[in-house]
Amino acid sequence: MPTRDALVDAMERLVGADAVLSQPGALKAYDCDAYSLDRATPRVVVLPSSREQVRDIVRWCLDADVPFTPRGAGTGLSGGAMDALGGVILSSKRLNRILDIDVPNRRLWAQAGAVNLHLTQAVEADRLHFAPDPSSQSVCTLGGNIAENSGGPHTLKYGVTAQHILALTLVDPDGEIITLEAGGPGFDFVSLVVGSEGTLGIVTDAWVRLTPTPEAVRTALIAFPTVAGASQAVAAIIASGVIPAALEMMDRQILAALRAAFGLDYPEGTDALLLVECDGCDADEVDAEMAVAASIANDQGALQVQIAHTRAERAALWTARKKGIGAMGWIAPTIITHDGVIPRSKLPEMLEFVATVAEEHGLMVANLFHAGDGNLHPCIAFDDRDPAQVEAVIEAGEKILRRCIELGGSVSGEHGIGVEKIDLLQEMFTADDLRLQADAKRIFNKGGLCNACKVLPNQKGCLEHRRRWRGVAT
Amino acid sequence: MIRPTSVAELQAVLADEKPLWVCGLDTKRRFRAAPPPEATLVSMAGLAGVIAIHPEDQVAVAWAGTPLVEFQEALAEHGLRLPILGEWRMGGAGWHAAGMPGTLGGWLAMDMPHVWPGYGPRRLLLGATVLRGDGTIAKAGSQAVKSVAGYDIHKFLVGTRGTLALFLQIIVQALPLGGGPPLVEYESGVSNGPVEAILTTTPTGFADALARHASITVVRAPATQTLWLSGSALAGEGDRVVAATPVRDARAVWPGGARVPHAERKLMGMAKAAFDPERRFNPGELGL
Repeated sequence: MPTRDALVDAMERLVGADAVLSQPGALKAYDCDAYSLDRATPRVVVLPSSREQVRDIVRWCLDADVPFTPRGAGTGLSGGAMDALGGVILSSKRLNRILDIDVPNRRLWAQAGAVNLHLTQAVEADRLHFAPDPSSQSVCTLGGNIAENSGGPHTLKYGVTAQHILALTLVDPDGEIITLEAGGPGFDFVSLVVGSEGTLGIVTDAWVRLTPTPEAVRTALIAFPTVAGASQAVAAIIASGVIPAALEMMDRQILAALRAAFGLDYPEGTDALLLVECDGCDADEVDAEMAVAASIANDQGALQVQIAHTRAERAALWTARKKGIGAMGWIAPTIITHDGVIPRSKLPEMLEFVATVAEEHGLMVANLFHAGDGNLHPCIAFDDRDPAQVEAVIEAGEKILRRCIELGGSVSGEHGIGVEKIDLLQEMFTADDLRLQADAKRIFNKGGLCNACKVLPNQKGCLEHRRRWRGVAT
Repeated sequence: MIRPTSVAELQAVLADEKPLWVCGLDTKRRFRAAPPPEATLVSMAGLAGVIAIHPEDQVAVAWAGTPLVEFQEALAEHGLRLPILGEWRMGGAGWHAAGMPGTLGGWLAMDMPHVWPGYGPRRLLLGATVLRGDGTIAKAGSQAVKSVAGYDIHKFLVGTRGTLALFLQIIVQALPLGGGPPLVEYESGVSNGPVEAILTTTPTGFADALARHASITVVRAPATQTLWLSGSALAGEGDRVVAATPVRDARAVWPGGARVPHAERKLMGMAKAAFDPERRFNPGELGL
């Protein structure tokens, strides 16, 4: 491994001094992503502005045996952008341009660092949008969305990121620039790269699919006296054949936080809120779909059904969903949002289990989630200055995710494995299953330098670093 | 042709030194390479049957050898369906929709054309159990409709034509009968319409028929029988019939026509070496 000075010199020669960060203060900002329980400070952060610069940095790292890690906006929730072994972080900050917009073919070409929301804003006037809409969409990047196969509320109808990537260019872990196309002749390597958490190479740019923006949108916020009633409404709406654009649930604790933080109020006796959005080209059809959903909700004992017709009314109803996590921040110093998936019929059983686990560990947990997908986001409030609480939070989270596996679900619906869930992946999959995954990784990445220690367990040289990331060893 | 009726029997066939040439009901032979003379011909159709249907979750589990028609009938009893289009066949004056011959495993391995935007096999396939060339069994995915736990191997295996591993059991998302956008009924022939499409696994005659149609430009990949259609294309209801990727000028998107680009061809070889290094499955298919 070269000295830090040699590393900085080399990077400055490749991309220029203004594109290299090496001061301790600057590096500190890159020691974790939005999953902050594990941290590791990189030796240098580089801001390349072209495919070729990315390639040159990767090649230099390969020659010098220096680990490298791609990073977008750092909003990831499983530690995927953490520089696990202390090497080079390649930030996509300067790869943020939209390169081409092709409205007739409904596609757009952008660099990996382009912000998710900017893609939609660029084609709004043409009544098109980029469908994946993770909560962080105002800052998160296309490259990050590709790495994590990001979802969001509207992926229930429109599908996750994998359904919206037509082609991508990546610098592979051997330092070659390659372009891959989805749905072309041959194998569909795009389906492997999307969701690979930056372990199969560094995506520099991609063609994305643009989706027509629905002409008619109706949003309903429905108050239920019980979580079970709301869950049953979810199952019944899906079974009716209506595919809502979004179907989101918030429980009593989220409502309490919203009340405390923003003074929002809901009908007396509300234990769960369900947000239902239907959209389409034909207003009458969308109204009919919403009528079905509202009637199902009433059959399940809804206390109140509010339906928004205008953009402003819709925004008001979405506040409960979008500000839910933020509101939690008002009532606790730290929150951690978990991510697990279960078959949706198991929602009531699972929510009960989450409540029991939280009680056992003396933790406050709130649930705000993509009910239509069965994708839970238990949000645990705690104080990260208290090691005992941190321990309790980790234990509770693992219990919840183990239960997801037992119920036939998955340990992650949209946040990824990163460093956070490597152990749990071994509970979800057998050694033979993981060998299949390792073989897939080997197609692209045979070495141990490209985003090391992520996704797959038992990578060489990773285990001994885990205590360091957790801050319990140096 | 050998038709194992248990996984153990299939593993026993694999334990023999000879490579396997694998099919389901052998309905797509004309799209495939010829089996090498030394290969043992194996049909997966003996490993058939619906294992579970969970109507409340709209998820079904079945053996890959289950005929598609039987699977659809089983789903229909629960008010569900797999939203896929039938296969194209040449006959008489042109081509026509020929229902759904073949098996679930064949549908996935061959990556047949589909008509629902956003509902291709990679979205519908939630998980799979596969047999590997060394005789081990591995699974990927889960019964959840959304998961990012590890690499999506099951989705990657779609369209790889059994060259990397064999689907044994599959988990798919089904949709309600009558729900969502209507499935387009194809009656016969090609008619003008506003739709562009990419079709995979189409018969050679189909490409010729389309190419004779004045308003359609066809770019084809002989190795995979993939067609890129531009100009006006298939019959249907406007935007609802876009098959995979809407493309106005296919050649502008894939420079050099429809050949598999060199880098991807190299990766395909590396995938074969990583998954099936002994070349036990379908040697020669896709040039691997």
